Amino acid sequence: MMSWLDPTRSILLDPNDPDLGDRTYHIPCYASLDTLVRSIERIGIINRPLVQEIPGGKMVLVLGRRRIEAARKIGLKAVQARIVPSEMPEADGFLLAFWDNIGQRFFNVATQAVVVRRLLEIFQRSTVATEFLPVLGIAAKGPRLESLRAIGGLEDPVLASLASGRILEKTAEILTRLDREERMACMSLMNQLGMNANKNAELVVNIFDLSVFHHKPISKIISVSDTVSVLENEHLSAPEKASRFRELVRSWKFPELVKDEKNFRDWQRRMSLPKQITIRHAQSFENHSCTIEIRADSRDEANKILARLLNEA
Amino acid sequence: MEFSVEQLWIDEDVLDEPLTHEIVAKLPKAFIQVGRASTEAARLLDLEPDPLNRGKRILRLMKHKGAFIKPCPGTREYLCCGLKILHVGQGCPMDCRYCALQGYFNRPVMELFVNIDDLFKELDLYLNEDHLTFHRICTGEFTDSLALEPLTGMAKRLVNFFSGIKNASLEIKTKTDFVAPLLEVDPQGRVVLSFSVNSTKISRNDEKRSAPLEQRLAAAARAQDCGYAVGFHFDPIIPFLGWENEYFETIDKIFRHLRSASVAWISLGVLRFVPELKEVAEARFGTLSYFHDGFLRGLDGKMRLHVDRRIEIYHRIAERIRRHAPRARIYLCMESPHVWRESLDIDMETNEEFAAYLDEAVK
Repeated sequence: MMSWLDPTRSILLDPNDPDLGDRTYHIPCYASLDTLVRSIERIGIINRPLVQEIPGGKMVLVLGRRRIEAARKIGLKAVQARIVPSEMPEADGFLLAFWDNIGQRFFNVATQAVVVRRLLEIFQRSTVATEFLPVLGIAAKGPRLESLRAIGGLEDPVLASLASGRILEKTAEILTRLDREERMACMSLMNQLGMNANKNAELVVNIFDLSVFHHKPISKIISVSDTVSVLENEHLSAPEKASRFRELVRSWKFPELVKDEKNFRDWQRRMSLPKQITIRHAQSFENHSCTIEIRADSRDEANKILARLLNEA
Repeated sequence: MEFSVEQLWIDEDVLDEPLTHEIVAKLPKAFIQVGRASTEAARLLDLEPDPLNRGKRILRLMKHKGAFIKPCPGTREYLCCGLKILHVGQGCPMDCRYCALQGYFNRPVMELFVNIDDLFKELDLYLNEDHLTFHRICTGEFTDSLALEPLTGMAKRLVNFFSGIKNASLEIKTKTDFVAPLLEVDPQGRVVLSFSVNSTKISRNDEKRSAPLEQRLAAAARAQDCGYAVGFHFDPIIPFLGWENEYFETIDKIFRHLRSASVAWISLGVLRFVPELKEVAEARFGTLSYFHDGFLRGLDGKMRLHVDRRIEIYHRIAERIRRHAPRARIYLCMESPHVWRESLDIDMETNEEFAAYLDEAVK
């Protein structure tokens, strides 16, 4: 590969000129821009962004997208930049962006997914496997690459949620299987309920399962009167709404289990057990066995309880 | 129909095995890679979007270095029949969408152990050392017992061997109808030829490249006429909408083709799977609605339908079977004593009782 950094020349760039929608060399970073904005306000741009002018006069960013975004936010009229020759091939430009970024920061799974998607567009699979996956820390397995490729095609807000840990990779993978409208309905629901990533995953899995199994669109499942009444209930706090919503969906997916759980709770309640005794049912009520747990404050007390139990047995 | 093998990967240490030569001679058009060349090919195969799909056309000939006879990988939380697995190879040229093996093996190609002298020596030793115990042995756990029979002749060799053994039986389990070579051998009552069966809908849509149900049943009838005991495995039973009538139809067909007296056993198992399987299968085949039913984590960590639903399903199927064959030896694969009692009305409390129940059919 030729070094395209040698023939660069300096220019004064209007931050509004580059097309930020262009993804040719895009390696996304989902961190907040605030710190970078403050840094540039205090000391300016230390490393000049790198741009390429493509036929038609359009400027695309090779390196420094966030610096340009920050400059726009601050309202700078011009920044020092470098320009690479327009004949630099896409693959070489992407390599510049890749190696510059990977040397400086950790790629979270959202960034990995976008990068893998782009690498697979530009290079042969075997090249991706030998030259890039080892530095990305990704196993050279086709199905894993396909999953990342699909995730890498998700909309920015979904990827940002994945990057920030608000949704898990498993949730993102399910979202890739939905059409845009359904996906946005899920995202909006998760935002509304404000749950953690694990609970979001459970909810999305259950709703997706119900949708597939009953051949019903997700939007229909989450807009039935029962769910709407939970979401619109002004007397419930956000965590209460989330909890009721999850339970409702769970009761549709596992009706027998939820019924068993209720019966079990009712049975325990009727027995009015002392606080130090708890009874657990078998996993998923697979059989009628129970585990009884008795907490004792001391070994003496434990000995007495055991002696009494053994005598009675 | 024979399965197409496009590539043979041969490990260097089995180049001189007689079975290697036999197989190479039967596949003149196959692309052959020996030793290290296949390691690089395996790396490239792993990179493909669906390595398993291509792997089903690649056969690796290799030496099995561990024990050939292993206990069935049952779990202590459920009743296990004590079947022993004779490990002749792994992977399968058929491509059932629900197949558990998709989530089980790391390597996507089919593997065949060609050091069969070692296999027969071990078998001989195993059965002689423990000659007072009766052993039910099966080859169809990690592969289909007959899928590669036209290439290997392995099942026929095994039938020959078991026909002279008093303290063991061999179960050959298949979704093919490749029984013809076996019919030339008298099994002497020591061999059960079993067929995995399902509803026509599942067979047609989800058991890619397997023999159609009618052909499997016709093969079972031919085997029965040649002195073989036959078995049927309804596993996995998939309770889609309207499942009852479809499964009843299969049961009715079985007893139209076969005499109930020659049916050694019929096993039932509702779909259950390790959680990863859903992901692997759907990455390969797209969304499969049955994986989205209300599966719960069972005592062994596998996903299972609620126990009451399983009981209902087993009860309905067993009832239909008993209409045709009131004394049919029906069993449940990996279920609890509670489920046995509630669905089959059989008190089966221990693995030992379970093993004895099946041993009776072949002793």
